[in-house]
Amino acid sequence: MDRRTGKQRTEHHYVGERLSAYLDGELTPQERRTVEQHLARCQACRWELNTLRQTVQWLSELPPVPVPRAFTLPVTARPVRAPQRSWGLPLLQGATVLVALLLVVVVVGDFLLTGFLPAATSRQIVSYEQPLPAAPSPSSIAWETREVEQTVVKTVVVEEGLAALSSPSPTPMPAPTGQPPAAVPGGEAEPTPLVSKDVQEKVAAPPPATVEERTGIGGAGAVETMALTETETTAARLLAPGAAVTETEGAGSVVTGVETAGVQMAGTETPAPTGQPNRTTSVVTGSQEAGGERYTYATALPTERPTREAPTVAVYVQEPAPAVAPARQGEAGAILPDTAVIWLGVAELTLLVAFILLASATLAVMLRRRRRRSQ
Amino acid sequence: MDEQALIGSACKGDARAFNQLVLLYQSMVYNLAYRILSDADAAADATQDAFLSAFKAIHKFRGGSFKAWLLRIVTNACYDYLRDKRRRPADSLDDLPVEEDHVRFLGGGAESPEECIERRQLNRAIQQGLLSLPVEQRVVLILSDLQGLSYQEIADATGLSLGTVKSRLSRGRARLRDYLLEQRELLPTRYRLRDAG
Repeated sequence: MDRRTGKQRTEHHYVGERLSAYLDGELTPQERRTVEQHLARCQACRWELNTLRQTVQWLSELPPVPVPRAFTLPVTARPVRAPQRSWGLPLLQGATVLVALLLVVVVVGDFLLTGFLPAATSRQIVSYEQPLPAAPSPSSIAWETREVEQTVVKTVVVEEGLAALSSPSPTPMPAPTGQPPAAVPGGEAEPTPLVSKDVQEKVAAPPPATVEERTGIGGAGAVETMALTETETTAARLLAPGAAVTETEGAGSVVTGVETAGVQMAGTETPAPTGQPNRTTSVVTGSQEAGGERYTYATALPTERPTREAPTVAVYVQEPAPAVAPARQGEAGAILPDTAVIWLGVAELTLLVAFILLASATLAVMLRRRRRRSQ
Repeated sequence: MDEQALIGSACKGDARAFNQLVLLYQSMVYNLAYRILSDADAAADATQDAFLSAFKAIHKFRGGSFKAWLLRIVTNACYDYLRDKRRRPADSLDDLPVEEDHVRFLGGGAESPEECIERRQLNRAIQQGLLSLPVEQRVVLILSDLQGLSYQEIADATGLSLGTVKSRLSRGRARLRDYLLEQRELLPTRYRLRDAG
C-alpha cells in the first residue's frame, strides 16, 4: 500500500518525468535542486534513475554499423533548380474556367432568347439578282383565300432601283411609264419604306392578314401551286403595295397566265389594280423549290414593259424548312434582331474556340508537370 | 575545402562537392536509417534516397546545421519506408531481421569471446527494444543516445519543440528500460537490470 501523501506523490511524478533530462544535464538549476532533494529520500526514484542511466549507456555503446557501400551520386547528377513561382498554370486554369462559364452563359442565353429554334434565324436574302429559279408554268389560275398567320421577313435587301420603282414617290422610272405604282387598295398595308442598296432592314410582320392565294394548274395533268404565302406577301409589299401581276420571264422560263395578284388586308379581297395599266407596277410573286431550297420571289416591273425584258427587280427570300411553326418563327424573330443573332453566333464560336485552346494548353501544362514530377 | 564551401559548390550543381559531403555523413545517415528500420537493405535504400533528395533540394538549405538538415531528410525517408511497409502488412516490422554482424566492441580486443557473445545478445535485445517503441520515440532516442545530438539539434532535425523532444526521450528511455527488464531472464547476468528495491 502506498503510504506516500498526495504531496509526495506529486513530487515523485514531477521528478520521475525529469530524470531523463537530469541525466542529460538539461534541467534548470531549480529543477535540478528539486530532483536531487527528492532522490536523496526516494529509493524508487533512485532505482529509476540508475536503470535509466544503465539503459542509456548500453544504448550509446551500440556499435556503429559499417556502411555497406558508398552512397555518392553520379557526377552527372544535377540539383533541381529552384522552382520559380509560376503563375502560368493558375492563369491558364482561371482563364479556362472563365471562358467556359462565359460560353455556358452565352449559349444558354441564346437558347432562351431564340426559343431553341435554330431555324428561326435561317431566313435570309439569297440574292436579288440571281437567276430566277425555274418558274412553274401554270396554265390557269384559281383563286383562294386563306388566313395567314403573322410572320416576319427577317432581312430584305432591295436595290436602289427597286425603291425608285415601287416607292410611292413620283420619282421618274427608267421604264416607259415613269409612273408611281398604284396605291394599296386595302388601305391597311401602308407602303413599305424601301431601303437602299446593301442596307439590311428588319421588316416587321403585318398583322394577321388574308392573302389571296393563286393556284396555277399545270398542264399535262400536273398541278402546281403557287401559294402566296406570307413571305410572298411581304416581298410583294416591298416591291409595290397592292400589286398587279403580269407575266414575266426569268431564267428562261416564263410565268404565264397570271393576271392579278394582290394583298388583301383584314379579310378584304383586293381587286386587281384598276389603275391605268401603264401606271401600275406589276408584281409577280410565288414560291418554288430549286436546288433543295424553297424560294419565295417577288418580281416587280412596269406593266408596259415588253414581256421579253428582264424583270427590273426581283427579291428572293429563302424560306426556312416548312416544318417550323410560323408562330414560333415570328416570336423568335420578334425577340432578337438579326444583328444580335449574328453577333451571338460569332461570340459563341469565338468562345468555343478559345475554350478548346485554353483547355488543351492547361492539360498540356499539367501533364508536363506531372511527368517532370514523376521523373 | 570546408563544409560551407562544399555546400556552396553543391548548390551550384557541383556533384563532386556534394559527394564530399556524402562521404562525410554517409555513416551517420546510414546508421540512423539502420537503427530506425532494422533492415540493412531498407536502410541502404533510405540512405541513397536521402542523399538524392538532399542534392535535389540543396537550394532550400538556408544555413544552420547541415547535419541536422540531412538527418531530417533521412528521417523522413525512413517514415516513408515505414508507411509503405504499413501498406503492405505482409512484411511487418516484427518479421524484420535484426542484423547481428555489426558487433564491434568498444575497447577493441579487451573483451573475451564470451563477453563478445554476451554483448551481442544485449545489442540484439536493445535493437528489438527499439523496434518495440513507437517510431516517434524511437527516432528521438536514436538521435539522442546513438547519434549524440543535443536536445536542440534533435528539435532542429525533427522539427519538434524542445518540450516534445524531452518528453519523447523520457518515455522512450523508460519504455526501453522496461523492455530490457522484461527480457532480463534472456540476457547474461551482467546485463540484467535489477529490480527496484
